[in-house]
Amino acid sequence: MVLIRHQLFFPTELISLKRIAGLDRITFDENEGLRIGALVTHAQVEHSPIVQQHCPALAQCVHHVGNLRVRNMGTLVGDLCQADNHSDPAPLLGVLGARVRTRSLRGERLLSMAEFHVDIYETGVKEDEIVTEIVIPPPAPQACTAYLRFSGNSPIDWPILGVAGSLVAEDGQCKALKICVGSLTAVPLGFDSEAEELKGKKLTPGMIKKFARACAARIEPIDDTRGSEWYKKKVAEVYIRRTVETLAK
Amino acid sequence: MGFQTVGKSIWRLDGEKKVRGQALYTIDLKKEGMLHGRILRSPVPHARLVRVDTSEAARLAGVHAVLSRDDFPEGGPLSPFFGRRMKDKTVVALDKVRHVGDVVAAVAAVDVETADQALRLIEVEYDELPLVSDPVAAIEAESPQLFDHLPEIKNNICHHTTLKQGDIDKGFEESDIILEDTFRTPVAQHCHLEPHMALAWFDESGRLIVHTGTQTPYGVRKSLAEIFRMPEEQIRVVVPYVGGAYGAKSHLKVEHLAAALAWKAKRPVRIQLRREEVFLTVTKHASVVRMKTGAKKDGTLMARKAELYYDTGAFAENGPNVVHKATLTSTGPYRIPHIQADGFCILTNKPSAGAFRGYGVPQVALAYETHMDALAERLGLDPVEVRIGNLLREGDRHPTGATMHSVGYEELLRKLGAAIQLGARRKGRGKRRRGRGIACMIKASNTETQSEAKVQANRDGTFTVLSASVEMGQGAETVMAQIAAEELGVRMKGVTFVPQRPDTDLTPFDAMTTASRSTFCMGNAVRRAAKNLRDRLVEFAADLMEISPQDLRVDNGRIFAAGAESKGFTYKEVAARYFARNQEELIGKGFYGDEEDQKTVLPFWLVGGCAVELEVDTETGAVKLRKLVAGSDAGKAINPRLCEGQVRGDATIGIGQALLEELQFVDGQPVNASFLHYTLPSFQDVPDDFPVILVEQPHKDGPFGAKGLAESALPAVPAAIANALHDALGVRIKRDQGAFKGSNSSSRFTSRTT
Ligand SMILES: Cc1cc2nc3c(=O)[nH]c(=O)nc-3n(C[C@H](O)[C@H](O)[C@H](O)COP(=O)(O)OP(=O)(O)OC[C@H]3O[C@@H](n4cnc5c(N)ncnc54)[C@H](O)[C@@H]3O)c2cc1C
Repeated sequence: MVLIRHQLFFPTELISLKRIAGLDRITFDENEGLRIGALVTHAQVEHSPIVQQHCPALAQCVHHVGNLRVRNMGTLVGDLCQADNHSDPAPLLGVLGARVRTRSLRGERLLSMAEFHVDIYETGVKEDEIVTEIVIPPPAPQACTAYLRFSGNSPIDWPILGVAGSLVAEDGQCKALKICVGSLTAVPLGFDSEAEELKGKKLTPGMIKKFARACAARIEPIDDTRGSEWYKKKVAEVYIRRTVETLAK
Repeated sequence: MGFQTVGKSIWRLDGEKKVRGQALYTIDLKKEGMLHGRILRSPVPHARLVRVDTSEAARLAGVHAVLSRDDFPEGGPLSPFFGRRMKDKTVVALDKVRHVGDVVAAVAAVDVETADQALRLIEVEYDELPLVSDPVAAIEAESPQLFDHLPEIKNNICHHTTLKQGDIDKGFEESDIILEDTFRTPVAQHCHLEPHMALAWFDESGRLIVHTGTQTPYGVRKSLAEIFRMPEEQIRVVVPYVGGAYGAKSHLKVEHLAAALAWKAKRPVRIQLRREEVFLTVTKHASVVRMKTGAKKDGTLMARKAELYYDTGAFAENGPNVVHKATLTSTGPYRIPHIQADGFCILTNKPSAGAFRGYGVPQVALAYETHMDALAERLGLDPVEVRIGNLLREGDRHPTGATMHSVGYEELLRKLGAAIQLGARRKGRGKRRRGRGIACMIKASNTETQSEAKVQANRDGTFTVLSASVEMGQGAETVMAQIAAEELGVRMKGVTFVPQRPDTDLTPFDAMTTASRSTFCMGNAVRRAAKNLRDRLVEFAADLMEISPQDLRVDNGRIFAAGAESKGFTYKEVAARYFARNQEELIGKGFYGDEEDQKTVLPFWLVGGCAVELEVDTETGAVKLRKLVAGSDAGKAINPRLCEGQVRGDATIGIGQALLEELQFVDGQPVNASFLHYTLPSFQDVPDDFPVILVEQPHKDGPFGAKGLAESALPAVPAAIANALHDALGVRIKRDQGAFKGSNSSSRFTSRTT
């Protein structure tokens, strides 16, 4: 809808999914995990007791999407499918290991986030498919998840960047760390090789700083009205560091 | 003084219907049989128009009129030329386009979609010309020229104002300390919620009727009369409620296009701009201000040199006057013996910049108030005391020759300083640093302009105020009723004041609803009209009671004999008896701005200031406002709640312009001209702690002492924030050291601010 409103996109036909039964649900089960249907709005995700219990970071994340009106009208699936690179939930769903379920006359598919994100405004969903739901697997026990966003001087603007992280730590030692940065590049960027280096190590302030610097060095941010490449790289380093610090606490 | 209505925060008269969604705004208007107009805009910033072919578009089913330069042959029925300060604009581009969004053609069709489709069928060939983007570079002799046929424009300069006093060289020689800096501010847009909209048609007798959300109904009528070559009385301009304007809705914006399409289509035409078009219709001036200030060791100001380069975009618009007024107040509210200030209004290939709340003052106030702060810091003086020590006082002569009057700066500055404990200022440490800053401002209005009003007593005991002051959210309707009520001697409770929306057929002349002038100029007219009506009512009551009018008193809606309060009539009874005998209307008339006023009225100054406490995240540069105090001298607050609302709203725009807003251009192309990417302040961007201070130094010529205040906070906000940032970080918000004109350094100013 945003693209139509801004005359970037001129569809001749629009199909509403609103009356398809079953797409408006949020459920959780031990096997598949959390499932969020295509018609579920940001506001419903934010206020869902099920999401708050099983994935509090997602409830907090979508609370920052746009404003109340956008959250009441826009869906989480629509946010993803639009594939604007400034999506807040996209990087978080990345570290959560979420998958996107699609359906067509040919049957169902489950896409990983890496398969789903192709480019700005481009996804792995085929022309004859619709997305029916997002599936977030049950989190590993002791995993901490966080999403920090930075939108300059205005807390309600689109993000300049968003950093999602998930950490499993034991006695202050890093067992598994995932970091995913959104908004800066065409698709969310993960840092698995950098995180691998931290495995089994103690998360000292020095280590975290070094990690953040290494991650930021690999980012090539798109410069736009919200900041230059140089500035975004600087802020990315700060926010990656802050995200890991938050997780390690 | 014992006022009964003035000074009371009564609820605004239009409040309930606006909250309930019942108030009629311009965009609510429709008319049977109307067509929808859409505008073809230039996609390039500067080009010669080689070919405009509308034949395909005209053939499309559903299209009733296509307007292009072919409709304006020399000596044709319509004149293409208009412009507020010079006739530099044309209804549609004739030979050149001068900015992205410049109007090339327009279409009227049965619906918006068809009109849009027709626009895509218009073939235009552009021969691109070199781009003029930087105002300082634009005035160099070798720069490409936007205009070559207007004698008023030379080297892309469409206006130059000079303010001189004393001997500037001597002033700097006698100074112990000299500051010299360059400041740069970006383009911003008004972002009034309701977009520009006009609905126009020719009635059965050939009169042109225009309903539009304008701030200047009489100005629109005059300009349309020139374009359509018809007498002004043949045109009727009606203004419903306006959903915000801030200067962006003064003079022709879409009215001429709707009217020209209606003329061609012989049907009513409605044009409502899209938000993206609003951004290309009028903006706030980007600026480069070079300022040099000299002072004695004790802080006494000695000399001020200023050069103002205001980027007015592709057409002069209101720019020349904006620059004029900004230059004349570039010394701030201070006494400076030696002055040399030059303001240049410069054309570039951007959308035109025009009037915007503050009218050029925020740009220059950032410079002079940063210097006052730097002076205090460098000399180890208190920032409030340095300002107070240099103030122009009551009765002093302003460098323009005007007299200072009703200028409550000292009280305001002390209250602002105390509100944020400015005395406890300290440079911050650590990653999150706090800082405090203060600033004030001065702005002139246009008290020399004229307003007329009528107040009518109706048969049912209600009153109608006929005034062409536009209600655009500021509360003019309510304040005019309060002024009328006070003068008539009635309480607002239980008495209905029926507003008459501005309509050039019904409401008498008013120069404009701009420059914070309405409470003062129209307020005086309404007060005089109310007095005139009261005199008539008293005279009639005197006849009834067979006593002399001198022996009658008026209070609380009753006329009674002095000393015998029970003997008398309510206004309602007087009106009933009057209309039982006469059908002649009971109207009082009032005019402001006659020769006597021109001789005796002292102009009023907008007097305002701001104090800020903020926190900076030094790792990202993000700024969070913890407290912002906005203050103004109201003269006399007719309605304190409305005054506070105006000051707070004004300060909010200031916050946006200081911290969030910038309309950005790359190679002449706007890159964030939409609400998706142009960040406006929201409720979460203003501090929770956001008080307003109202000072009252009555103006001798204002209605009940009142004067305008709606532009007194904004200009001080960016400067106060900049000063607080310096307190927190030790960094001044300015450009690198710029040399003054003639020193050949313009290339240094071409980089963009972030
Ligand atoms: C003012 C504003 C501010 C915003 N700020 C933010 C922000 O800060 N952070 C953020 O992350 N987002 C932000 N957004 C984006 C917002 O979250 C999305 O616009 C919204 O969630 C889209 O949901 P929708 O249901 O309206 O989708 P639509 O607009 O209806 O659809 C979007 C796209 O996805 C496709 N699509 C939708 N559903 C499906 C489906 N089930 N299967 C296949 N394709 C589908 C559509 O065809 C279309 O191409 C903002 C939007 C606005 C207008």
